Amino acid sequence: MRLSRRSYPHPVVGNLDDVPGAAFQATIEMSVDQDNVYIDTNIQCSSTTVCGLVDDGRAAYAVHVECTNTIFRRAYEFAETSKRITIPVSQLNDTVEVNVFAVAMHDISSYAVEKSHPDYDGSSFDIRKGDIIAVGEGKTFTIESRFDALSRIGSIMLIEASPDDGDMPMRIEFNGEKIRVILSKADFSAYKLLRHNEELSGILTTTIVLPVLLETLYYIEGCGDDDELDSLKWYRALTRRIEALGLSNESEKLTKAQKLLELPVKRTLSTAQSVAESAS
Amino acid sequence: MKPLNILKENFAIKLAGSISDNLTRYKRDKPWLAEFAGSSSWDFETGLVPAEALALAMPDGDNLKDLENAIRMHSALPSLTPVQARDPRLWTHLTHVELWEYMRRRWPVEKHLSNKQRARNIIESRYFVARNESRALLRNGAARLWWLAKLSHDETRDNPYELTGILLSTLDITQQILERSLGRAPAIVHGFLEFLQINPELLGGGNVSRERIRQLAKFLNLNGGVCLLDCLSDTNVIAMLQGEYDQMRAQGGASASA
Repeated sequence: MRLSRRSYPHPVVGNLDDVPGAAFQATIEMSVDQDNVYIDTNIQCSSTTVCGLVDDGRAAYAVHVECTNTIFRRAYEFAETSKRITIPVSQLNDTVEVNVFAVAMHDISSYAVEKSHPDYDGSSFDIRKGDIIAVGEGKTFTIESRFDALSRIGSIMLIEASPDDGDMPMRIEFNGEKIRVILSKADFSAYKLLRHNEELSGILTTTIVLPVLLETLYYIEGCGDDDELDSLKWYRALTRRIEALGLSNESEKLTKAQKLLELPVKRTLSTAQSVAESAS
Repeated sequence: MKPLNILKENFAIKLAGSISDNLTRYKRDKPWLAEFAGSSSWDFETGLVPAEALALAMPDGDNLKDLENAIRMHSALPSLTPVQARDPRLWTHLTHVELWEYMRRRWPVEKHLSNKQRARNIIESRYFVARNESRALLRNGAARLWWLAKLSHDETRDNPYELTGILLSTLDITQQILERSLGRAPAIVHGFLEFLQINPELLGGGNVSRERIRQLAKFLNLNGGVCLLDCLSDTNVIAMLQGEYDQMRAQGGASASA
């Protein structure tokens, strides 16, 4: 649920200047393990009206979780100011929106909020069950959960043949779910023949994947803080891999690329040595 | 029962990018993915084992058999998790291999081939999961059956698929309810469908019924701006809709104030 600041028919704490004398804030943190997604919320509410209604059970705090990717939408209601929501990891994928509210759990007649805007002086409202009476700042998270976890670095790349004829240098495109590596038709045919040969996979990695990864690291640097990168699956997977290997502070891109690929030059030379020895 | 296979991701991307080249293949009687893949490996076995055979009833003229097939699909894959059930590799495999014959009968491409762009759009939306959003799942020929049953399934009823029958009684209900954000909330969907069951005249088709359903969905959506509908029970949702509908009828038109 995408929330925008709006005019409610009654004063809502935390919305615009409806109740300038009170605040409703929530910190939302998300963590994930193999089985579950955990959403930890801490609520700070300075409205005596809202807190009082929650205390006597006529209202509740609610964490609303929505994931369009998996058609998931649910509200979790509670009375505590700190709450951990646990959701199986099999229920969420990609973008997850989390919003925190206080909502009426029963119809409330003659509702008025202390310290509300002077425009509301002397007014009272009939609140229905479910009506929002306080709203906090929402947060959006990204979760990746699939049949098979993306583990190898090569799986963020897709190697394809160019539709054009003739010899040409390898090209790279970054704007899709995967990094697209485009080879000439002849190069792609040779690549297809060689890629299932375990002995030669190290050579392919060094010849194709290492320069592509190096170019990718420069591309990421060139993008700066561009938020659009976050929408690219290959970027998120690569970032996770960099963090998992403790390479976030490695400034030398050639070093970083080689460490990500587990020293491909060493593997290539070792393979070449074996091939040379078996041929002699 | 044999475990399900799904497409390899690279192959799924390649297949989706080759719709124009493969247009005539979508007229074939038999699946052709192995031929298209050539010597490349294109799918792999998952740990997903169907609870029963994935056999769909063939559409017969105007009888599309959507309800029967939604039940069959959901019964065959009852424990599919939402993350698995949104994976394009699964549904693209099913539409191109296991359910090929059904897809050819239900979504034949022949009648659109005179307009190649239209044919491409039909293939993209019915044989693939085109975009990373819920609407695309409700368009794919196989995924839609599973999701429609899943979103309306109610284990507490004597017939757990009773509401699925209402959902599939007219196409307009699916669009008005499920293609809005409120369609992701089970209590809201169940409440809306049960409300329609209580007021069966709304299911009779015709412009007035269609417009009333549209106005009621809009009314609920507007209320969602001030009320956290997810905190309501299906009984609350029914009461809200009934109040609005009674007002609508009293005014003798399709709409009443929201």
